[in-house]
Amino acid sequence: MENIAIKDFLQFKFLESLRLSPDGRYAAFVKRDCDEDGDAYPASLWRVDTASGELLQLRAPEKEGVLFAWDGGKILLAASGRSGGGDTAILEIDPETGDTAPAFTVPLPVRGIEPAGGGAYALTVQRDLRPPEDREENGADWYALDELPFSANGPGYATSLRRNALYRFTPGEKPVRLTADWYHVEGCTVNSALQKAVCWGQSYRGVRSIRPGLAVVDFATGDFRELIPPDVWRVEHADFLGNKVMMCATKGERYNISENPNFYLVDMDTGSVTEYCQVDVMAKGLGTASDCRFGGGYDCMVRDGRIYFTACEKESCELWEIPAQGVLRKATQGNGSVDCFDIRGGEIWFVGMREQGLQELYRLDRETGQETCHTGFNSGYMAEHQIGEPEECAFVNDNGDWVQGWVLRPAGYVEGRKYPAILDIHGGPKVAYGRVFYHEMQFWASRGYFVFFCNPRGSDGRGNAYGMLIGSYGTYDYDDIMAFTDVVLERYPDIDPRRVGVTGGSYGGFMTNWIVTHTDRFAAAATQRSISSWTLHEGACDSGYWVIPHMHPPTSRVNPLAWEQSPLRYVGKIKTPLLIIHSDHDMRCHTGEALCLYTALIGRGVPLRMCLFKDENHELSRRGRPQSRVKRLEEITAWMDRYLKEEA
Amino acid sequence: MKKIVLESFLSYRFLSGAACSPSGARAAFLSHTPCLAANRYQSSLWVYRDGGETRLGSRDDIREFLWLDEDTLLVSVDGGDLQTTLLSVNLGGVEQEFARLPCRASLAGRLRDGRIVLTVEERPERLEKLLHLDGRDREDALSDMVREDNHFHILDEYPFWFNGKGYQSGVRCGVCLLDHDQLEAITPPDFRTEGLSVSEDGTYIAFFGNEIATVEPDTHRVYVYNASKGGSPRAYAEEGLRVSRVAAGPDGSVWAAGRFIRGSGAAEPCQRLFLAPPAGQLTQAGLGEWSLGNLIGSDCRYGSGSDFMVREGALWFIATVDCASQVFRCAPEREPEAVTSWNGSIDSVDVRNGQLLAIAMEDMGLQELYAAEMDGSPRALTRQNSALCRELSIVTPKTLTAVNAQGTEIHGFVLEPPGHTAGVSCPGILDIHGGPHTAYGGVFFHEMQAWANRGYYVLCCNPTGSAGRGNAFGAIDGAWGSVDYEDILAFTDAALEAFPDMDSQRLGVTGGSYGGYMTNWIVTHTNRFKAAATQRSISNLISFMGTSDCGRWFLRQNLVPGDSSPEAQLWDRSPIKYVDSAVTPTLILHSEEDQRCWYAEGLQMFTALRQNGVEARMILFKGENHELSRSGKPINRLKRLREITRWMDRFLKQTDAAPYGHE
Repeated sequence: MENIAIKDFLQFKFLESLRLSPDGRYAAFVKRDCDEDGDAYPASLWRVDTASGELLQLRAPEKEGVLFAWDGGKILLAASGRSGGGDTAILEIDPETGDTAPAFTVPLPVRGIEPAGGGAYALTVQRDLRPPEDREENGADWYALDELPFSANGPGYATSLRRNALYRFTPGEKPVRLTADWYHVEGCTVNSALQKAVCWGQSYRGVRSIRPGLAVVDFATGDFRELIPPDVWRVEHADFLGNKVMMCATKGERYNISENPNFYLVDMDTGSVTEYCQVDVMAKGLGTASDCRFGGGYDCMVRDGRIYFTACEKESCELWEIPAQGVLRKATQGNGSVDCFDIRGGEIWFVGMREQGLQELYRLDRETGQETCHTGFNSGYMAEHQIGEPEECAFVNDNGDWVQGWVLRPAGYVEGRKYPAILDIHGGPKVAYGRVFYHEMQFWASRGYFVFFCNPRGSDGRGNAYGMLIGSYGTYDYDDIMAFTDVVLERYPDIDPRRVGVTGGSYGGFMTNWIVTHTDRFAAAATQRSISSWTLHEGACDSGYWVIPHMHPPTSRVNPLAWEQSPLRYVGKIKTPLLIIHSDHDMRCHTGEALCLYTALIGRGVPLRMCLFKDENHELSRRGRPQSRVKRLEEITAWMDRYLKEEA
Repeated sequence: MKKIVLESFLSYRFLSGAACSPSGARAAFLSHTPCLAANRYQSSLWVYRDGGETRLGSRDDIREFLWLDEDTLLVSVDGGDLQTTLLSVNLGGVEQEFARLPCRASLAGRLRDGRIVLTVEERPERLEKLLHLDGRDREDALSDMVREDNHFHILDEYPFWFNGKGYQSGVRCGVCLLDHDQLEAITPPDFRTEGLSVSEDGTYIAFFGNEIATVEPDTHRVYVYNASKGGSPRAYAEEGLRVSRVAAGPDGSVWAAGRFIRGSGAAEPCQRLFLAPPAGQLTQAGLGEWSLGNLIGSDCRYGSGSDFMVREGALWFIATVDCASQVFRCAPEREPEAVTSWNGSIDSVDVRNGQLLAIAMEDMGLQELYAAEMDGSPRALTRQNSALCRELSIVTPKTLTAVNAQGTEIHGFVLEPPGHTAGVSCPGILDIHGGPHTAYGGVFFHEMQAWANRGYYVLCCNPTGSAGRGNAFGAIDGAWGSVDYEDILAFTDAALEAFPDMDSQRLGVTGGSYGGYMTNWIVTHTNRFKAAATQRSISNLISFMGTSDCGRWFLRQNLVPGDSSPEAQLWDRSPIKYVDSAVTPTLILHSEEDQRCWYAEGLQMFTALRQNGVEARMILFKGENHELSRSGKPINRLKRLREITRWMDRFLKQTDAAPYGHE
């Protein structure tokens, strides 16, 4: 058995975009490899014959990623031109043999394609409404920002004056736009008869609302009918159910942006909304945290009159089913995480991380609940390596809440010896840690650290009330994490309490900053993609303009609480050696957050170092270029080793 | 007469680095011109001799030069792959390779024995590799450096970056001597040289800087190195003295200029002069409160030149006085005396045989090389821009003085639209300078000329905090957005009164850096302006403090001891705190690599205004820094001018449509 190493993630395979053929005969999906030399994640298209289990690679790896859809019994693949302007060539692939032939060309850069009946297709296309002089293709060496949001993590400054539009396209004809000039489609679902689509989106000028409206588009007539105006519901998803529209949405009246959505039916004639099912789980939430995923796929749909979606219950993200009004049950009974799924012809398949495993493709037997793994992309690695198993270490906090946490023992643990430890804190905050494979944790355990992590108040999986942290960052969440640390140190006396480090990213970075400004109990800290000041976050974050007013109503500029809850305010209290990890294109938590912290702390006698990653964004630890990811983990590990390992 | 339009600057020539030949009979300078097609500046070498100027050679990528002898110059160009190429050029324009340096280096002077003095800015561990590896090994090392730079930067010092230079953590700057092809450093590897001067006779090198351990210390040390004797340089230090310039004399004496940073951090806005005679101590020379160098703003300069030197037993320097900059001469034990009383700006200077040679902007013209007449008045030697200037409809600014609430005179200028018909109301644009320790003068300012030619009144002034009027007037640290704001509005009122055709209902405001801060302050405190363009601005002093290359200096200098907490002080003076009061349509211009006022400042302003439904637009320039308006790439400079102008036109002339809605 081999130990887990920093570069091991380069051997992992990540699965995404699972789509079953309409008859359920094939399950097609995209596999991502890590290419260290090429510093990229080449994507290849695969399929499984759902009857025989035969696995076949349909397309060789491509650097750009793969966009595909089922069109009857064939796969349509968008071959090029998706990222830039211009045409998109569509190829047709025979799923049986992998034979590929050109199908047709779309005179638009396609971001999404679905069959729309009668030989037509529904296309999602980003429209560029910027004046010609402000476009890169005309030599513009600047970003012109006219709207909010002005940026998005990942695409960067590519939201202002851009709209995702829906088109109907019949090969050989001119594409017909079905959405209005300023309408932005956030998502849409085509009905099973391929006649119409339900869109959630909004027509806006200047400022996009967090609450899109709902509309139904008829492909044949082009009729676009608004069912619900924007600014009312935070619509997360919509589909057709019977003769109504199903909407997964919330008004956020009680728990604001952290409120779990419920399921509603919307009358297609009147737009009236009736409740279908109340669920106190975060449907389509961020799921169980791991650094071993790349892309996503379907996470909510209606099939055969039933609603399916993914959501966390406690630590495990599972597939849920609403078979009838007001009835909710879990469709999967395992532990780990269901990352994306599809259901066709009675077949239920999903990409998941089960128990301690990395991602594989599974079939769910609806009757028995049995999950059958159909791929073995990562099984060789798992078999050859010493994988630690997290031990549950739950406790009851001062509020009487049961708080879940886990401890990973160091590889080769010998009782009675003293070990250093690392506390890991998840982002979100509405995310949950679970028992799934987490590379950095496994690596640290293999390097001789105890690793411990928990789901404090504010985390996902425990309902609205538990997940509520708005206005309270750095209060009871901090208390829970400190209480957990006490519990771990008490239950694991072989952890040397003087050699405990802490790290976390995003909200976990905020919390790391909060911890080092409020206690000296940690001997080292690494704060990643963190927040240090809410006033900056409101103005510089891609979603700050709607996130912050909900966190510190009405805005951080006039609410003193925002400064009271900013770690930057308490920087003079830091004594813990601090490593700051940030990306210079992080649009979620702006680089300025890290620089402000750095400037305030440098020269105060506290060991300090910052590693600023170039051309990376908020996803550094999960989707960053392989060489950057290696460097990140090397930096954090070297920092912990330096301050936590006696021999260092 | 041709109107000055936004694009006119593409025909201007900007001069820099005037230097006399050893005999003083000739002078050389660099001439830079923007090239839109190549989107860069073309920099060529010129010599003035026998009453005329000629261009030497055909190179247009010259970075620096110095005189090797009466007939030969040495120039440096980028050698690619982190190398520097030195070429000798004779007066016939014939070039010859002089040396190829395996690192980036800047020319600083020439010693009497022929050795060349250079500064080399690099991280020591990288420099080691660059200097000592060759062939395949060097290529491998270079590709490792590129790979690292493409992935991450390590920050473990302060300042961690510097505007225009990028990430500075770990970067040092050494003084090196080039003997044939051998480079020898005279500073330790950890030393960061901030300035350097070679004595006129090529014997002494004076330089200043310090060794950095985590945070750059306040105090600069001054050193004098005897290049003929070698050995260790003589060191001088005055606790808390932050030096801006040094000048070496041929007798081993050294002059310095700087300001004291006291424990609390408060520094005087003006500088003092110091002199260390040979074998003596560094002591203050004279009483002056000097706004050293030319601080008169213009967007028609590129490159730099010397403004502080020892010649003929005295210190010669440029300083800004009120609305102009002048040359001063200071002999030891004497008070400095003005050598010039010109009306514009003197940008760089050299002195030989009692003759003053200067690159200056005089008589509302663009830069030329000037000599001083016997009576001290300027005489243009070159005709780099004169023909063009004769054709252009240049508006001469009218001086205007307002009196502020404290009874202090506030000096400023108003440009009238050329051909203005009395009684016809015109819109106006208020321009606010950066610094705040700089000043406006009666010199050519392209954007103002273009706006005046477009039918705008343009007004600008030097409020409290500006340069050229001593410490008392220049003190504004800790009080941004108070008396300075009132001064600017008082001047605006005075201008409206003096020029009744200026429409008080159609005023716009713009400014950059501190001027951008003030623009933000204005729109968050009054709605009298109908359009604003805030450039490389500051909106939140807390985030500015944490991200600017001078953030910690700023904090120390701007805190009022014993007052409320630092954050409370910064927040109270942050325009963003008051942004909910803003109604003025505001254009925000920022550069992505502005490490003085980082673009997060602009983003915060944009988000808040947009959130509140105020007309706002932001242009974020890629690959530009704080110097966009002065040395930005030509296409971006043009975009900047067009955006501001279109914004003003839209809200002050109602002539241009909204910038969006196109497909």
